[in-house]
Amino acid sequence: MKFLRPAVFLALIALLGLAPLAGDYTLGIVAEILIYGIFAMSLGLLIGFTGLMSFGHAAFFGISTYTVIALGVHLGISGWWGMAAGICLSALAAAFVGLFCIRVSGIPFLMLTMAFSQLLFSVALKWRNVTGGTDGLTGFVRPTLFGMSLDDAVMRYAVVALGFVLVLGFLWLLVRSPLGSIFIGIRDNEQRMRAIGYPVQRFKFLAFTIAGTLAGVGGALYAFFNAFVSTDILHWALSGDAIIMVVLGGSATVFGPAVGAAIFLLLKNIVSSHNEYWMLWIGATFILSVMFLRQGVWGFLVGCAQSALGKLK
Amino acid sequence: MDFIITQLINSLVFGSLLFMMAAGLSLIFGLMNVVNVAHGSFFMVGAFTAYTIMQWSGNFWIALGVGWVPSVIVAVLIERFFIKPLYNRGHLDQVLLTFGFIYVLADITHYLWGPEIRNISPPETLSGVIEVAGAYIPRYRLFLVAFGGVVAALLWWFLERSRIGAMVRAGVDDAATAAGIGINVPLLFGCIFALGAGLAGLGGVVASPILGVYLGMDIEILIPAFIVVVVGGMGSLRGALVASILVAVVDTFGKAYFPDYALFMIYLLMVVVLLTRPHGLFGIARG
Amino acid sequence: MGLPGGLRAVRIGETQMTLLKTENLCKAFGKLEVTRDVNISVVEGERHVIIGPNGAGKTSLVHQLTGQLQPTSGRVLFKNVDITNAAPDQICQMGIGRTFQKNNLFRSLTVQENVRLAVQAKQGGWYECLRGVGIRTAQRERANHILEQIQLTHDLLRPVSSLSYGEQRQLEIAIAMAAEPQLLLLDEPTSGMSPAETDRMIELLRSLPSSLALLMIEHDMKVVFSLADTITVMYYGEVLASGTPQEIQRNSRVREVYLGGKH
Repeated sequence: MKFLRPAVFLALIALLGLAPLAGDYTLGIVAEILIYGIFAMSLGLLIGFTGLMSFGHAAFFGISTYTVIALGVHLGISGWWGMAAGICLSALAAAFVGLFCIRVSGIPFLMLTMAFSQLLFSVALKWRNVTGGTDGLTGFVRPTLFGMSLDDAVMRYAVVALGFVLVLGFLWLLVRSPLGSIFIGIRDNEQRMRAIGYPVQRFKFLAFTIAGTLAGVGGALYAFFNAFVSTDILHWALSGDAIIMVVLGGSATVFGPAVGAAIFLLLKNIVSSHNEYWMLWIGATFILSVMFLRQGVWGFLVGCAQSALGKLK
Repeated sequence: MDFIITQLINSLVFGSLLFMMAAGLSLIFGLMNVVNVAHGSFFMVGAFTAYTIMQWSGNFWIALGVGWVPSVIVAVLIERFFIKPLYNRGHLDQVLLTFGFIYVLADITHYLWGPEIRNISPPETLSGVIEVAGAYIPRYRLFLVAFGGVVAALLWWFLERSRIGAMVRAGVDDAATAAGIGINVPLLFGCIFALGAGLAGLGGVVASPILGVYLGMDIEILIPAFIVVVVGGMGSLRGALVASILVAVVDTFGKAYFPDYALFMIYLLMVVVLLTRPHGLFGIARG
Repeated sequence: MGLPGGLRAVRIGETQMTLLKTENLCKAFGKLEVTRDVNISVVEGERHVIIGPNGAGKTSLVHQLTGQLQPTSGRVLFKNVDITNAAPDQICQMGIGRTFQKNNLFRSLTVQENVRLAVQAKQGGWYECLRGVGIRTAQRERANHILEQIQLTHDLLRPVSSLSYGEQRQLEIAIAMAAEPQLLLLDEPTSGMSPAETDRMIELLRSLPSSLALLMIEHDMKVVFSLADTITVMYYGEVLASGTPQEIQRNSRVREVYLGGKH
């Protein structure tokens, strides 16, 4: 059992390393999966590990994307500085929103997070000269790394893959840390956590802010990837998609949501190439998953592996 | 002055629709402790059904009479096969499940009717305008306000005065005990879910001459409806009534006086209410 | 000795500090009064048991003492500090631990982790949590030590769901003990237990450190009379009588309410 995790990790690294061989088009799909994987994993920290179902996570993703692209298009600031600014802004936004939303839980929390996200969406729509409204902002120049522009698909992919591995690693360490155990405790039994002396609100706030910051990492990478942003990125539909990714992949593990992102995007791509009813397929898959595979696809696979290895002992 | 009258009537119109949605949601939550986010889909199905009935018969009253039926059928199937097994799983799982149904029902509607926006004209007897205190109000809007009032009154009578209503209230208090005194709780739950869906479907029928019939109307009514439920307090019918009017007024007058911030206003309302009264204005705290 | 509430010090020759004191505690839900002018005291090391028929307001009282319910009026003082409006986590950090009437465990975690979480809570500010993983070994050892004291020793890495009901009740206490409380509030520790399990629980409670004060709600008279230094009888939200077990047994009003038997 102890060898399984490093083995899976190495397999992942190998796959990521081999991807460029598949050609630029496939590489683009993989990069998109990795970006949404980051987004989903960050939400997974909230849903799976702290028990907070947020319906406004797109806000922290989109703020970062907008920051990178707006700074680049309007002020000519390099994407790298834009990324730093974007992540910071996402962190601040998450802290601000978190401060309010943490006071409630359950459905009110769901609605409140969505409300803040929609408020941001409204502002973005209204603020046309900065955000470009529904038309969006074009003309973003991707930054360079070691002399190579990120316009090159492989270079771009490499940055995204690195970001993914870093976020994955960070989350993996976080959930195993004392802080992570507190998040898990809160998800399991919030009342008891209070009774044994934890200032639960403070930790929920921390989880919310960390999750928002990581979403910001994804958002910045998306800016590099897409070189374009429109208000769609702040729409609650993206938050909904993220929830589907988390639950589909499995909310109880760090990696599960990334698997969910892959399934979601692949399914959407495959169905879209045949007809326009991809929502039906995603919806149906999701319903079945909630009913029968609540631990998610990755959660199911992990469970199978654990019981199989258990039998070998 | 006539501007204000017009906006007031518009508020009541919107409020009526919101109430029909929110009442169902609150009943379902208050009695069954179930959250159904696909409620907007029932609304949309009602509107599309009304359109089809109008295509066949040209008679709006028939649409009113049976337009809600497909919504109820869909609801019964969903409740029986998907929600029932999930009663014990808690709100979050129910939200997830019904969220999936939003996607499914939206695409099924798309498949059956196509993507075009449709329109329905109100019936002859309800078309045209009436003068009310200097303002010219479309007759149909007044009808809708009256309709909403009648629905609210019937619902109140049903819950407060009838035997079935008493059973519903007993079930809200304690489902286990209600079962203990012989109330068929699963059947009751099924009926309430159907009632909620029927109200939503009826709302869709009655809204179609004003709103039109289009894909996306499920979400457009769902969010304000949930804002109403959360502001009024989940599980409270009185809260649904008060909050429907409140949200409708804020939205209508907000759009009229601050068109730039149209989307803002009701979200702001909800934020303010939730931060001062997390359970809503009349809410019951439920596990 | 001048202690409020008509209590007597039990260990002759020692003076104990009053740990917990309530002053005219009242709680009403609209017109329903669940707590009426309750005055209770607990001193260091005391074994104080609260008894009373169902609906007497015992659990509501515990909720008010631990910050889960705000009293309508009156005060709660712990070591002379007003904790009436304190939050549950602050109250725990100050030295009051509690168990719940219905098992309130971390169901998806292991036995050891249940207690370790409580140990970790005691150890400090949140920023310490960002420290490395090594700190956990010490916490785990402490958790194991506590579990040993509570007589839960084999396979501490199994999930909570595999414990018997009685063992879960024991775990309830272990979790509360991990915070190193000076006062432990036990809400019906033997509820739902078989006679054999109850006897084991009595032994366990007897073996708890004598410096630890216990304020316990109980229905089982065997447990009450085996353990109590002081008994307080509650009835419809009020304190009916309070004193040593002998005094309570002789009290005619108490006999009336209880008819000499168990409730």
